Amino acid sequence: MASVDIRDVRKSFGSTAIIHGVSVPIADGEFVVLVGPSGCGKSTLLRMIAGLENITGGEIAIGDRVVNNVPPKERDIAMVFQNYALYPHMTVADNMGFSLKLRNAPQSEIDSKVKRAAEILNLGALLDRFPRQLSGGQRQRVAMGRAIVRDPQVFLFDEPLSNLDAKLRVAMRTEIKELHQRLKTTTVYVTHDQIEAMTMADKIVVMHDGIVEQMGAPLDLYDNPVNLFVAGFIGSPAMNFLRGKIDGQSFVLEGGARLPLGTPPSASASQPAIYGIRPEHFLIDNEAGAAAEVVVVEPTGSEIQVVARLDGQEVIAVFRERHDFKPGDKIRLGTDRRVTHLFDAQSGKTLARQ
Amino acid sequence: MADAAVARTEARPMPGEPSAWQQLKVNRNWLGFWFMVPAMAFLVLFLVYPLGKGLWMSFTDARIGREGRFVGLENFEWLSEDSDFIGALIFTIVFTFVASAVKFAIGLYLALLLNNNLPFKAFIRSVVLIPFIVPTVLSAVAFWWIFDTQFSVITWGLVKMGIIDRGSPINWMGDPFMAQCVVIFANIWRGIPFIAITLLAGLQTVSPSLYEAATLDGATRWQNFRYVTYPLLTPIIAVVMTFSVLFTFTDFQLIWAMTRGGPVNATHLMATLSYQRGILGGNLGEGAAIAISMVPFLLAAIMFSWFGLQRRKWQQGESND
Repeated sequence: MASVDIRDVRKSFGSTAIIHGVSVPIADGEFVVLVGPSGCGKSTLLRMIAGLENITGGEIAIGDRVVNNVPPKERDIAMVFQNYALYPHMTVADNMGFSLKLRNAPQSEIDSKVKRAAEILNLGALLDRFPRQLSGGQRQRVAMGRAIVRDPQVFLFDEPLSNLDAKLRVAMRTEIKELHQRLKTTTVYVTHDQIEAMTMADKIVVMHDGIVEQMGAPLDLYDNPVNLFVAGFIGSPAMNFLRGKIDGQSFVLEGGARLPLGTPPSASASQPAIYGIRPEHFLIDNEAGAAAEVVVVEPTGSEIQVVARLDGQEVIAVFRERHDFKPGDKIRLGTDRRVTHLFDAQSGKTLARQ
Repeated sequence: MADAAVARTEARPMPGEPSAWQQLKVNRNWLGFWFMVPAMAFLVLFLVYPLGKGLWMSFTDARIGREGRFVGLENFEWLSEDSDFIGALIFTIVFTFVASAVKFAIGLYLALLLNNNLPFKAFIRSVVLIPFIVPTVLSAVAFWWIFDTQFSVITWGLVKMGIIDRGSPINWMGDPFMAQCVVIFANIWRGIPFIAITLLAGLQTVSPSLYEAATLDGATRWQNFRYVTYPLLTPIIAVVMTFSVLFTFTDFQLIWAMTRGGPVNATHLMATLSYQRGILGGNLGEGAAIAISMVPFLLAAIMFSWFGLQRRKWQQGESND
């Protein structure tokens, strides 16, 4: 096991810059998730750690060793690919033992290591199968088994769950997290799914257009996003953003409705701003709430999601209680002033966090 | 016709059992048969009939303009003592074996090369195809000149470089062994593109992430080829080499345009010998016997690839039982 240190790493393909100076320290044994929309450079960054892409600028160190010019096989990392990349002509056991075979390990060692990995992943009965004979989840586990057998310094996962159906994805999420808790190997995991990021990570790195927007613990990112992008990306359904301006202890929307505000930043009075409120932080406040009209009601069982028009702007509110709303109903929405967010209208940066 | 007439009279809707003819017309299983009839007619006319006729002729002493009598295996008995035939048989086997092996080696190498990211990739790929596009006779004539005893450009080059003496040019097409090498070389030149392009198509179906995974697993370039590329390519190699062996074994044009089987019958393949004896010599029965003698070898090649081609276990989609 080892730490990974990414220092001001840059990547260009020809004249097109993809990653503009990214620095991420990853502690020994940490589970770090790189998350962002497609094209943000997260997979490229992972491939640079693996050695599958050259590093245009900056440094990547695994342990104490800078690996910029170290070939992939000497970096002592293992990678799980999005399409699993299992060798179709080898059995499960051969797939898992391939790296050991290349290292000329004795057959007895290969067998025992493969057996141990198969036990960890419940693959014991499938060792003689070929990849084509396996289901998606089983293939996924074989790909992880191939990584485990290596006993590497770092695990790299490149969107490993995106080819699985929704139910299996949740199960495998848990399995990967369990595996990490058991093996305690430093892990870098790339995904575009913020729920995967939230549920699995010790540390989330939110990337966008080749830069790191914010990194931190999942709940820290959820509670204290530093800008509009992170606020909108983390959390589902996404945070509501409302345009307006600050007026003392409240926020005035463009149409005149008022929403409560915590302590506003001193210098920002009456400047245009964006008010951020998570759907689950709306509440029904029949006295002080702002008037809104129900547009769509979407019950999910555990909660109801209400799309409402608030002062001309559509917002989503989520309630745990079962309100009996119908489209067209007039409701009054209030917010808890402690959990509202405020962003600068121009830069998108957070003005104040309550 | 009678059946059709009956069918017409019985075409009225009937409550009871439809007639056998009626069933033939509407039954789904028979429908498939009817769709196959035109194709089968073509095959019978252009494949089964000539083959059958050839087989029959090989048992007769037919000559041009004369029907011929059944003589049993006499033609084959003669051939088994005919040194020209034995020579052609041996040369055909050597020719096929050497040319196919070299074509495979160079074709595979070219395919691997072209599968990389080269500048002007599309251009280079089309250049590789050129030997395949040029009409055989045209390229044969070109080779004829290249290896002409007096005007050979190779001899000229060797003389200019001072490697051989101007007074003793290499007798490319005059020396039996040299002539054999030359026709094998020409066949290789012509056959490489087919193998290279087909294997390239096969290579492109291999997912790049498999190479990446193998690289991370610690594979060198050679090990990548040995453990990933080659095993994944074996099915297509089996197909392409079967075709290559069949084409090479039955080659006619190239030999006929370059050497006509000479010198002293050294470059005769079975196909050219058969043509010479049967058509030019007029001994149709004997020519047919030579041609029929090729069949067991071709069948053997097909059987070999049939077993080679059987889907390997890893290719079979299987349920999760």
